[in-house]
Amino acid sequence: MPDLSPEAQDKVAKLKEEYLISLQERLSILGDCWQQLNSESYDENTLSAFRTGCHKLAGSAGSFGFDEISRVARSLEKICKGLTVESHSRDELVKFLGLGYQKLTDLIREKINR
Amino acid sequence: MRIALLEDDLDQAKLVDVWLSDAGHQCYIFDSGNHIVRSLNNESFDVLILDWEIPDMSGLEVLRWARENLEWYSPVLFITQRDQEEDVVTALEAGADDYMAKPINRAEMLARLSAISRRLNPTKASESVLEFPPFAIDIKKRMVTCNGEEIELTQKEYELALFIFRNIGRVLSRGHILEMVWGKNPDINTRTVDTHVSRLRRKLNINEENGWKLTSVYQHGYRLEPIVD
Repeated sequence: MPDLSPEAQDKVAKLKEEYLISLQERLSILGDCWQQLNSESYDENTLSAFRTGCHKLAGSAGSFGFDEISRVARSLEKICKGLTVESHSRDELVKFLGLGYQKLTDLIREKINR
Repeated sequence: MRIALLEDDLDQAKLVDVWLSDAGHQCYIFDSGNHIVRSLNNESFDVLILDWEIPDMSGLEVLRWARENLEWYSPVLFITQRDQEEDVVTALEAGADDYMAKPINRAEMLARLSAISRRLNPTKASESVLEFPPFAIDIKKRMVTCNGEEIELTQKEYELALFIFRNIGRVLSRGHILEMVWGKNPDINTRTVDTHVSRLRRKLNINEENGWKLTSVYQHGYRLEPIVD
């Protein structure tokens, strides 16, 4: 498989910079969901939005070379699939997702601040 | 190849676009199921790359729609995080030609597309003359013959003939033909395609006597087919 042309490499480098900026926004969206999941108003839609955010992150981060972020986001997505607001209390949701979410947050912040 | 990419994550889509363009493909990005279905009603593509989880229609629903409604066949490569066995089976049973789990790896994706392309155009690389009796296309000499006699064609007419004969049975949209023969040129419009197709039909004498028909498909494009008795 031939390497990317220099022109394409430049484009990918630029896209990667843009992606790093978008990571901040993606983290912010996940953070909003997380806050809601931690509040009295947590619901299925919020859980679904959190799962979708993790799903997208898992797919895109890996393609941009952020394998660890992709892996943790993927784990969170998988956990979300097994959870429902009806069958799990708020404390359970936070317990199952908390560690992964914290890890994901740390990893993204580390990349952004680098 | 002309590739339609269904992917709602714009960052991901842009990256794949760069990879595909650098490999010589033309990539068209669609961010929703309805968006790609609308386009498929008027356009043709060599390959569809479908993400599973997208807004409105899922990639799987788009695939089922395409297989039920499109007159032309395009190979489908599924790219998604659903890598469990039952998901693979579901996608393949619905008509996907290949399957790839996210995160997308550039080398793997291009290799899979190459394999799809080889299946699409089984012509051997060493084969320099393509036979479509009574027509033959000599690729090295860039020449088309009918019953052994050379037919005088312009360069674009030759390229158009080669493209159409390589896609026998497929409905090719005007946009697809335009792009494959003329490239992405904003100064040329689809009427050019109609003019050249008309001229090619006349010069090659494509008709029932020769066992071929080149039909115009309403609001879409053209299809070359052998006439079966």
